[in-house]
Amino acid sequence: MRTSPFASITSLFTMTDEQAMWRVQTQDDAGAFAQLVRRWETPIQRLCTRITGDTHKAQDLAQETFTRLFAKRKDYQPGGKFSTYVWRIALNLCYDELRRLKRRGESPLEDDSEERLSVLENHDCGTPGPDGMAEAQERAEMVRQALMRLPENYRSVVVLRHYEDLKFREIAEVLDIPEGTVKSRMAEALTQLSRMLQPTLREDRAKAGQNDFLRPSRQMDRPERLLV
Amino acid sequence: MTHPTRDQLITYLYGELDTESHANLSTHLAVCRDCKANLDQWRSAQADLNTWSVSPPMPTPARRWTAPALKWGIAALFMVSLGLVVGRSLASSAPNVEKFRAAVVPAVREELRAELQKDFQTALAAQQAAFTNEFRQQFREGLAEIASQTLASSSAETQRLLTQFVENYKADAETTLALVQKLDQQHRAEYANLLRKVETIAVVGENRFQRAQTQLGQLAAYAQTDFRPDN
Repeated sequence: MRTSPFASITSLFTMTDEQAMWRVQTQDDAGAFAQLVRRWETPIQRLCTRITGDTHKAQDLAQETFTRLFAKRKDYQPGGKFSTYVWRIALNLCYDELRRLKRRGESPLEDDSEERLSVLENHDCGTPGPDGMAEAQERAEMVRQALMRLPENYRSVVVLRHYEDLKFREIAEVLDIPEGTVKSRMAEALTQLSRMLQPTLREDRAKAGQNDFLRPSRQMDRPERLLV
Repeated sequence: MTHPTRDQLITYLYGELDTESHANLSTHLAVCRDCKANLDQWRSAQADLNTWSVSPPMPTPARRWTAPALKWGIAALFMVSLGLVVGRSLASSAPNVEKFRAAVVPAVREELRAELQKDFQTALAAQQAAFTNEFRQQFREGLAEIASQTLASSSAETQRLLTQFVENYKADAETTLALVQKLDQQHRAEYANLLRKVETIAVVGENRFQRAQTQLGQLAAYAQTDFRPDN
Protein backbone atom coordinates (compact mmCIF):
# COMPACT_ATOMS: atom_id res chain seq x y z
CA MET A 1 0.00 0.00 0.00
CA ARG A 2 1.57 3.20 -1.16
CA THR A 3 1.05 6.16 1.13
CA SER A 4 1.73 9.63 -0.10
CA PRO A 5 5.15 10.81 1.05
CA PHE A 6 3.45 14.06 1.98
CA ALA A 7 0.76 12.45 4.13
CA SER A 8 2.30 13.88 7.27
CA ILE A 9 2.18 17.35 5.79
CA THR A 10 -1.45 16.91 4.74
CA SER A 11 -2.38 15.79 8.23
CA LEU A 12 -1.18 19.14 9.52
CA PHE A 13 -4.10 20.73 7.71
CA THR A 14 -6.90 18.60 9.14
CA MET A 15 -7.95 19.46 12.63
CA THR A 16 -11.02 18.80 14.69
CA ASP A 17 -13.39 21.72 15.09
CA GLU A 18 -12.31 22.09 18.69
CA GLN A 19 -8.63 22.17 17.75
CA ALA A 20 -9.30 24.70 15.01
CA MET A 21 -11.32 26.92 17.35
CA TRP A 22 -8.56 26.73 19.93
CA ARG A 23 -6.08 27.97 17.34
CA VAL A 24 -8.44 30.78 16.37
CA GLN A 25 -8.89 31.71 19.99
CA THR A 26 -5.24 31.65 21.02
CA GLN A 27 -3.40 32.54 17.82
CA ASP A 28 -5.96 34.27 15.60
CA ASP A 29 -5.17 31.51 13.13
CA ALA A 30 -6.83 32.54 9.86
CA GLY A 31 -6.28 29.15 8.25
CA ALA A 32 -8.03 27.35 11.10
CA PHE A 33 -10.88 29.84 10.95
CA ALA A 34 -11.20 29.34 7.20
CA GLN A 35 -11.44 25.61 7.78
CA LEU A 36 -14.27 26.10 10.26
CA VAL A 37 -16.10 28.36 7.85
CA ARG A 38 -15.68 25.90 5.04
CA ARG A 39 -17.05 23.05 7.12
CA TRP A 40 -19.95 24.88 8.71
CA GLU A 41 -21.20 27.52 6.31
CA THR A 42 -23.61 25.20 4.49
CA PRO A 43 -25.24 23.65 7.58
CA ILE A 44 -25.52 27.07 9.25
CA GLN A 45 -27.04 28.55 6.14
CA ARG A 46 -29.53 25.68 5.94
CA LEU A 47 -30.54 26.25 9.54
CA CYS A 48 -30.96 29.98 9.06
CA THR A 49 -33.05 29.42 5.93
CA ARG A 50 -35.41 27.12 7.73
CA ILE A 51 -35.71 29.15 10.91
CA THR A 52 -36.32 32.48 9.17
CA GLY A 53 -37.97 31.10 6.05
CA ASP A 54 -35.90 33.56 4.03
CA THR A 55 -33.05 32.28 1.85
CA HIS A 56 -31.39 35.62 1.24
CA LYS A 57 -31.63 36.77 4.82
CA ALA A 58 -30.19 33.41 5.77
CA GLN A 59 -27.01 34.11 3.80
CA ASP A 60 -26.51 37.35 5.72
CA LEU A 61 -27.22 35.61 9.01
CA ALA A 62 -24.75 32.85 8.22
CA GLN A 63 -22.13 35.45 7.40
CA GLU A 64 -22.97 37.24 10.65
CA THR A 65 -22.64 33.97 12.56
CA PHE A 66 -19.05 33.54 11.52
CA THR A 67 -18.25 37.19 12.09
CA ARG A 68 -19.60 36.88 15.60
CA LEU A 69 -17.80 33.59 16.09
CA PHE A 70 -14.53 35.31 15.34
CA ALA A 71 -15.33 38.51 17.22
CA LYS A 72 -16.27 36.57 20.34
CA ARG A 73 -13.63 33.89 20.05
CA LYS A 74 -12.40 34.60 23.57
CA ASP A 75 -15.77 33.52 24.92
CA TYR A 76 -15.49 30.00 23.60
CA GLN A 77 -14.99 27.43 26.33
CA PRO A 78 -12.21 25.13 25.08
CA GLY A 79 -13.71 22.09 26.85
CA GLY A 80 -17.05 22.41 25.11
CA LYS A 81 -18.29 21.10 21.78
CA PHE A 82 -17.76 23.51 18.94
CA SER A 83 -20.93 22.41 17.17
CA THR A 84 -23.10 23.34 20.18
CA TYR A 85 -21.43 26.74 20.28
CA VAL A 86 -21.89 27.58 16.62
CA TRP A 87 -25.49 26.29 16.43
CA ARG A 88 -26.33 28.48 19.39
CA ILE A 89 -24.81 31.62 17.86
CA ALA A 90 -26.70 31.04 14.62
CA LEU A 91 -30.00 30.36 16.37
CA ASN A 92 -29.73 33.48 18.51
CA LEU A 93 -29.08 35.58 15.43
CA CYS A 94 -32.11 34.03 13.76
CA TYR A 95 -34.29 34.77 16.77
CA ASP A 96 -33.03 38.35 16.84
CA GLU A 97 -33.92 38.72 13.18
CA LEU A 98 -37.40 37.28 13.71
CA ARG A 99 -37.98 39.63 16.64
CA ARG A 100 -36.80 42.54 14.54
CA LEU A 101 -39.25 41.61 11.80
CA LYS A 102 -42.06 41.29 14.30
CA ARG A 103 -41.36 44.74 15.72
CA ARG A 104 -41.45 46.17 12.25
CA GLY A 105 -44.75 44.46 11.68
CA GLU A 106 -43.35 42.29 8.93
CA SER A 107 -44.44 38.72 8.99
CA PRO A 108 -42.26 36.17 7.30
CA LEU A 109 -45.38 34.83 5.65
CA GLU A 110 -46.71 38.03 4.12
CA ASP A 111 -45.36 39.42 0.90
CA ASP A 112 -43.76 36.12 0.27
CA SER A 113 -43.67 36.31 -3.48
CA GLU A 114 -39.91 36.68 -3.53
CA GLU A 115 -39.43 33.87 -1.11
CA ARG A 116 -41.84 31.64 -2.97
CA LEU A 117 -39.83 32.28 -6.11
CA SER A 118 -36.66 31.51 -4.23
CA VAL A 119 -38.02 28.23 -2.92
CA LEU A 120 -39.28 27.31 -6.35
CA GLU A 121 -35.96 28.16 -7.96
CA ASN A 122 -33.84 26.44 -5.39
CA HIS A 123 -36.00 23.43 -4.96
CA ASP A 124 -34.02 20.37 -5.58
CA CYS A 125 -36.30 17.62 -6.78
CA GLY A 126 -35.39 14.56 -8.74
CA THR A 127 -38.77 14.13 -10.34
CA PRO A 128 -38.81 14.55 -14.09
CA GLY A 129 -41.66 16.12 -15.97
CA PRO A 130 -43.07 19.62 -15.51
CA ASP A 131 -46.20 18.55 -13.64
CA GLY A 132 -44.39 16.48 -11.06
CA MET A 133 -41.91 19.28 -10.49
CA ALA A 134 -44.51 21.97 -10.02
CA GLU A 135 -46.38 19.82 -7.54
CA ALA A 136 -43.24 19.07 -5.56
CA GLN A 137 -42.30 22.73 -5.51
CA GLU A 138 -45.74 23.69 -4.32
CA ARG A 139 -45.46 21.10 -1.60
CA ALA A 140 -42.12 22.51 -0.50
CA GLU A 141 -43.61 25.98 -0.26
CA MET A 142 -46.49 24.61 1.82
CA VAL A 143 -44.00 22.99 4.15
CA ARG A 144 -42.08 26.22 4.47
CA GLN A 145 -45.24 28.10 5.38
CA ALA A 146 -46.31 25.41 7.82
CA LEU A 147 -42.93 25.57 9.56
CA MET A 148 -43.16 29.34 9.76
CA ARG A 149 -46.52 28.99 11.49
CA LEU A 150 -44.95 26.94 14.25
CA PRO A 151 -43.73 28.81 17.32
CA GLU A 152 -40.00 29.54 17.09
CA ASN A 153 -38.97 27.19 19.86
CA TYR A 154 -40.89 24.34 18.22
CA ARG A 155 -39.45 25.17 14.82
CA SER A 156 -35.89 25.08 16.18
CA VAL A 157 -36.38 21.57 17.52
CA VAL A 158 -37.80 20.36 14.21
CA VAL A 159 -35.00 21.93 12.20
CA LEU A 160 -32.26 20.59 14.44
CA ARG A 161 -33.70 17.07 14.80
CA HIS A 162 -35.24 16.46 11.42
CA TYR A 163 -33.07 18.46 9.04
CA GLU A 164 -29.72 18.66 10.80
CA ASP A 165 -30.07 15.22 12.40
CA LEU A 166 -28.92 16.18 15.89
CA LYS A 167 -29.78 13.75 18.69
CA PHE A 168 -32.34 14.91 21.25
CA ARG A 169 -29.61 15.12 23.84
CA GLU A 170 -27.51 17.40 21.60
CA ILE A 171 -30.49 19.63 20.93
CA ALA A 172 -31.06 19.88 24.67
CA GLU A 173 -27.47 21.13 25.03
CA VAL A 174 -27.82 23.69 22.26
CA LEU A 175 -31.12 25.05 23.54
CA ASP A 176 -30.15 24.62 27.19
CA ILE A 177 -33.42 22.86 28.06
CA PRO A 178 -34.17 19.38 29.43
CA GLU A 179 -34.16 16.52 26.95
CA GLY A 180 -37.75 15.69 27.87
CA THR A 181 -38.83 19.18 26.85
CA VAL A 182 -37.10 18.74 23.50
CA LYS A 183 -38.96 15.50 22.88
CA SER A 184 -42.33 16.96 23.90
CA ARG A 185 -41.84 19.91 21.59
CA MET A 186 -40.88 17.62 18.74
CA ALA A 187 -43.91 15.43 19.24
CA GLU A 188 -46.24 18.41 19.44
CA ALA A 189 -44.60 20.05 16.42
CA LEU A 190 -45.01 16.97 14.26
CA THR A 191 -48.63 16.68 15.32
CA GLN A 192 -49.33 20.30 14.42
CA LEU A 193 -47.44 20.02 11.14
CA SER A 194 -49.36 16.93 10.15
CA ARG A 195 -52.62 18.76 10.77
CA MET A 196 -51.49 21.75 8.74
CA LEU A 197 -50.21 19.71 5.84
CA GLN A 198 -52.68 16.89 5.51
CA PRO A 199 -56.16 18.40 5.43
CA THR A 200 -57.41 16.08 2.72
CA LEU A 201 -56.21 13.04 4.55
CA ARG A 202 -57.95 14.25 7.67
CA GLU A 203 -61.19 14.69 5.81
CA ASP A 204 -60.97 11.21 4.36
CA ARG A 205 -60.38 9.69 7.74
CA ALA A 206 -63.23 11.72 9.24
CA LYS A 207 -65.51 10.30 6.62
CA ALA A 208 -64.34 6.81 7.47
CA GLY A 209 -65.41 7.49 11.06
CA GLN A 210 -61.99 7.66 12.67
CA ASN A 211 -62.90 10.51 15.00
CA ASP A 212 -59.92 9.89 17.18
CA PHE A 213 -57.72 11.47 14.59
CA LEU A 214 -59.37 14.86 15.00
CA ARG A 215 -58.74 14.98 18.73
CA PRO A 216 -55.50 16.31 20.08
CA SER A 217 -52.86 13.67 20.47
CA ARG A 218 -54.31 10.92 22.61
CA GLN A 219 -51.14 10.49 24.56
CA MET A 220 -51.76 13.85 26.18
CA ASP A 221 -54.98 12.58 27.78
CA ARG A 222 -53.52 9.36 29.01
CA PRO A 223 -51.47 9.41 32.21
CA GLU A 224 -47.83 8.79 31.56
CA ARG A 225 -47.00 5.12 31.78
CA LEU A 226 -43.71 3.37 31.51
CA LEU A 227 -42.99 1.08 28.67
CA VAL A 228 -42.90 -2.55 29.81
CA MET B 1 -51.91 -3.21 27.46
CA THR B 2 -49.53 -0.48 28.61
CA HIS B 3 -48.94 2.17 26.03
CA PRO B 4 -45.73 4.06 25.45
CA THR B 5 -45.55 7.69 26.49
CA ARG B 6 -45.47 10.32 23.82
CA ASP B 7 -41.80 10.96 24.56
CA GLN B 8 -41.02 7.28 24.11
CA LEU B 9 -42.90 7.22 20.84
CA ILE B 10 -41.03 10.20 19.42
CA THR B 11 -37.75 8.68 20.61
CA TYR B 12 -38.72 5.50 18.82
CA LEU B 13 -39.60 7.40 15.66
CA TYR B 14 -36.14 8.92 15.49
CA GLY B 15 -34.39 5.67 16.28
CA GLU B 16 -32.97 6.74 19.62
CA LEU B 17 -34.47 3.98 21.75
CA ASP B 18 -32.21 1.21 23.03
CA THR B 19 -32.51 -2.10 21.22
CA GLU B 20 -34.71 -3.78 23.80
CA SER B 21 -37.15 -0.92 24.19
CA HIS B 22 -37.28 -0.54 20.44
CA ALA B 23 -38.19 -4.18 19.99
CA ASN B 24 -40.84 -3.98 22.71
CA LEU B 25 -42.40 -0.92 21.17
CA SER B 26 -42.41 -2.49 17.73
CA THR B 27 -44.29 -5.42 19.17
CA HIS B 28 -46.78 -3.09 20.81
CA LEU B 29 -47.32 -1.14 17.59
CA ALA B 30 -48.16 -4.33 15.78
CA VAL B 31 -51.20 -4.77 17.97
CA CYS B 32 -52.16 -1.25 19.07
CA ARG B 33 -54.20 0.73 16.56
CA ASP B 34 -54.08 4.04 18.41
CA CYS B 35 -50.35 4.21 18.88
CA LYS B 36 -49.84 3.09 15.30
CA ALA B 37 -52.16 5.85 14.09
CA ASN B 38 -50.22 8.42 16.10
CA LEU B 39 -46.96 7.21 14.65
CA ASP B 40 -48.35 7.23 11.12
CA GLN B 41 -49.50 10.78 11.60
CA TRP B 42 -45.98 11.79 12.53
CA ARG B 43 -44.50 9.79 9.68
CA SER B 44 -46.63 11.64 7.15
CA ALA B 45 -45.41 14.93 8.64
CA GLN B 46 -41.84 13.68 8.28
CA ALA B 47 -42.44 12.81 4.63
CA ASP B 48 -43.76 16.29 4.03
CA LEU B 49 -40.81 17.88 5.78
CA ASN B 50 -38.52 15.96 3.45
CA THR B 51 -40.04 17.66 0.43
CA TRP B 52 -38.47 20.98 1.43
CA SER B 53 -34.80 20.72 0.49
CA VAL B 54 -32.59 23.76 0.73
CA SER B 55 -30.00 23.92 -1.98
CA PRO B 56 -26.47 24.93 -1.07
CA PRO B 57 -25.60 28.57 -1.66
CA MET B 58 -24.44 29.75 -5.06
CA PRO B 59 -20.86 28.56 -5.38
CA THR B 60 -18.62 31.50 -4.70
CA PRO B 61 -16.38 31.95 -7.72
CA ALA B 62 -13.30 29.97 -6.85
CA ARG B 63 -11.11 31.70 -9.35
CA ARG B 64 -11.79 35.22 -8.16
CA TRP B 65 -8.45 35.03 -6.46
CA THR B 66 -6.84 35.46 -9.82
CA ALA B 67 -9.14 38.34 -10.79
CA PRO B 68 -7.30 40.93 -8.69
CA ALA B 69 -4.01 39.74 -10.10
CA LEU B 70 -5.38 40.13 -13.57
CA LYS B 71 -6.64 43.57 -12.65
CA TRP B 72 -3.21 44.58 -11.47
CA GLY B 73 -1.82 43.48 -14.81
CA ILE B 74 -4.41 45.46 -16.70
CA ALA B 75 -3.86 48.44 -14.43
CA ALA B 76 -0.13 48.35 -15.05
CA LEU B 77 -0.68 48.13 -18.77
CA PHE B 78 -3.15 50.97 -18.57
CA MET B 79 -0.70 53.15 -16.69
CA VAL B 80 1.99 52.52 -19.22
CA SER B 81 -0.27 53.16 -22.17
CA LEU B 82 -1.70 56.25 -20.48
CA GLY B 83 1.77 57.54 -20.01
CA LEU B 84 2.56 56.88 -23.65
CA VAL B 85 -0.66 58.42 -24.91
CA VAL B 86 -0.29 61.46 -22.72
CA GLY B 87 3.34 61.82 -23.69
CA ARG B 88 2.64 61.52 -27.39
CA SER B 89 -0.43 63.69 -27.63
CA LEU B 90 1.02 66.44 -25.54
CA ALA B 91 4.51 66.27 -26.90
CA SER B 92 3.87 69.45 -28.82
CA SER B 93 2.65 71.41 -25.81
CA ALA B 94 5.55 70.43 -23.65
CA PRO B 95 5.02 72.76 -20.66
CA ASN B 96 1.65 71.18 -19.68
CA VAL B 97 2.67 67.54 -19.92
CA GLU B 98 4.25 67.37 -16.53
CA LYS B 99 1.40 69.23 -14.91
CA PHE B 100 -1.12 66.94 -16.55
CA ARG B 101 0.79 63.88 -15.54
CA ALA B 102 1.17 65.16 -12.01
CA ALA B 103 -2.58 65.79 -11.76
CA VAL B 104 -4.08 62.81 -13.53
CA VAL B 105 -1.77 59.93 -12.90
CA PRO B 106 -1.75 59.97 -9.11
CA ALA B 107 -5.52 60.29 -9.00
CA VAL B 108 -6.01 57.37 -11.35
CA ARG B 109 -3.40 55.36 -9.53
CA GLU B 110 -5.05 56.07 -6.19
CA GLU B 111 -8.45 55.12 -7.50
CA LEU B 112 -7.21 51.90 -8.95
CA ARG B 113 -5.34 51.10 -5.80
CA ALA B 114 -8.37 51.68 -3.60
CA GLU B 115 -10.52 49.56 -5.86
CA LEU B 116 -8.01 46.78 -6.03
CA GLN B 117 -7.50 46.87 -2.31
CA LYS B 118 -11.22 46.44 -1.83
CA ASP B 119 -11.23 43.60 -4.29
CA PHE B 120 -8.32 42.00 -2.53
CA GLN B 121 -9.94 42.25 0.85
CA THR B 122 -13.21 40.86 -0.42
CA ALA B 123 -11.45 38.10 -2.23
CA LEU B 124 -9.30 37.47 0.80
CA ALA B 125 -12.20 37.33 3.21
CA ALA B 126 -14.25 35.13 0.97
CA GLN B 127 -11.56 33.00 -0.47
CA GLN B 128 -9.23 32.33 2.38
CA ALA B 129 -10.47 28.79 2.37
CA ALA B 130 -10.19 28.34 -1.37
CA PHE B 131 -6.73 29.84 -1.28
CA THR B 132 -5.60 27.56 1.50
CA ASN B 133 -6.92 24.64 -0.49
CA GLU B 134 -5.24 25.82 -3.65
CA PHE B 135 -2.03 26.58 -1.86
CA ARG B 136 -2.06 23.20 -0.24
CA GLN B 137 -2.68 21.59 -3.60
CA GLN B 138 0.08 23.55 -5.31
CA PHE B 139 2.45 22.96 -2.45
CA ARG B 140 1.83 19.25 -2.66
CA GLU B 141 2.18 19.26 -6.42
CA GLY B 142 5.31 21.36 -6.14
CA LEU B 143 6.87 18.99 -3.69
CA ALA B 144 5.88 16.00 -5.79
CA GLU B 145 7.40 17.69 -8.81
CA ILE B 146 10.67 18.38 -7.01
CA ALA B 147 10.77 14.84 -5.66
CA SER B 148 10.19 13.24 -9.03
CA GLN B 149 12.70 15.50 -10.70
CA THR B 150 15.29 14.71 -8.10
CA LEU B 151 14.62 11.04 -8.46
CA ALA B 152 14.82 11.17 -12.25
CA SER B 153 18.09 13.03 -12.34
CA SER B 154 19.73 10.93 -9.70
CA SER B 155 18.45 7.53 -10.72
CA ALA B 156 21.63 6.71 -12.63
CA GLU B 157 23.77 7.72 -9.68
CA THR B 158 21.43 5.85 -7.36
CA GLN B 159 21.79 2.72 -9.41
CA ARG B 160 25.54 2.91 -9.13
CA LEU B 161 25.41 3.50 -5.39
CA LEU B 162 22.90 0.74 -4.89
CA THR B 163 25.04 -1.73 -6.80
CA GLN B 164 28.06 -0.74 -4.77
CA PHE B 165 26.09 -1.06 -1.58
CA VAL B 166 24.96 -4.52 -2.53
CA GLU B 167 28.52 -5.53 -3.30
CA ASN B 168 29.71 -4.18 0.00
CA TYR B 169 26.85 -5.85 1.72
CA LYS B 170 27.71 -9.16 0.16
CA ALA B 171 31.35 -8.76 1.13
CA ASP B 172 30.26 -7.76 4.59
CA ALA B 173 27.97 -10.70 4.74
CA GLU B 174 30.72 -13.14 3.93
CA THR B 175 33.04 -11.60 6.49
CA THR B 176 30.30 -11.71 9.05
CA LEU B 177 29.56 -15.29 8.25
CA ALA B 178 33.21 -16.26 8.69
CA LEU B 179 33.25 -14.46 12.01
CA VAL B 180 30.11 -16.19 13.14
CA GLN B 181 31.47 -19.56 12.22
CA LYS B 182 34.67 -18.86 14.08
CA LEU B 183 32.72 -17.79 17.13
CA ASP B 184 30.64 -20.87 16.85
CA GLN B 185 33.66 -23.06 16.82
CA GLN B 186 35.04 -21.29 19.82
CA HIS B 187 31.83 -21.75 21.68
CA ARG B 188 31.74 -25.39 20.91
CA ALA B 189 35.35 -25.80 22.12
CA GLU B 190 34.59 -23.94 25.27
CA TYR B 191 31.49 -25.92 25.88
CA ALA B 192 33.30 -29.19 25.43
CA ASN B 193 35.95 -28.01 27.82
CA LEU B 194 33.39 -27.00 30.37
CA LEU B 195 31.62 -30.27 30.03
CA ARG B 196 34.82 -32.17 30.69
CA LYS B 197 35.45 -30.12 33.80
CA VAL B 198 32.01 -30.75 35.09
CA GLU B 199 32.35 -34.43 34.48
CA THR B 200 35.64 -34.41 36.29
CA ILE B 201 34.08 -32.70 39.25
CA ALA B 202 31.24 -35.16 39.18
CA VAL B 203 33.60 -38.07 39.23
CA VAL B 204 35.74 -36.55 41.91
CA GLY B 205 32.68 -35.63 43.83
CA GLU B 206 31.34 -39.13 43.56
CA ASN B 207 34.57 -40.56 44.88
CA ARG B 208 34.64 -38.18 47.79
CA PHE B 209 31.05 -38.89 48.58
CA GLN B 210 31.70 -42.59 48.67
CA ARG B 211 34.69 -42.07 50.88
CA ALA B 212 32.65 -39.84 53.16
CA GLN B 213 29.95 -42.46 53.31
CA THR B 214 32.46 -45.09 54.26
CA GLN B 215 33.94 -42.87 56.91
CA LEU B 216 30.54 -42.09 58.32
CA GLY B 217 29.71 -45.74 58.47
CA GLN B 218 32.93 -46.47 60.31
CA LEU B 219 32.24 -43.64 62.70
CA ALA B 220 28.74 -44.87 63.37
CA ALA B 221 29.99 -48.40 64.07
CA TYR B 222 32.63 -47.04 66.38
CA ALA B 223 30.12 -44.89 68.23
CA GLN B 224 27.80 -47.83 68.73
CA THR B 225 30.65 -49.93 70.03
CA ASP B 226 31.44 -47.18 72.49
CA PHE B 227 28.00 -47.10 74.00
CA ARG B 228 27.27 -50.72 74.38
CA PRO B 229 26.41 -51.14 78.02
CA ASP B 230 28.24 -54.35 78.56
CA ASN B 231 31.54 -52.94 77.38
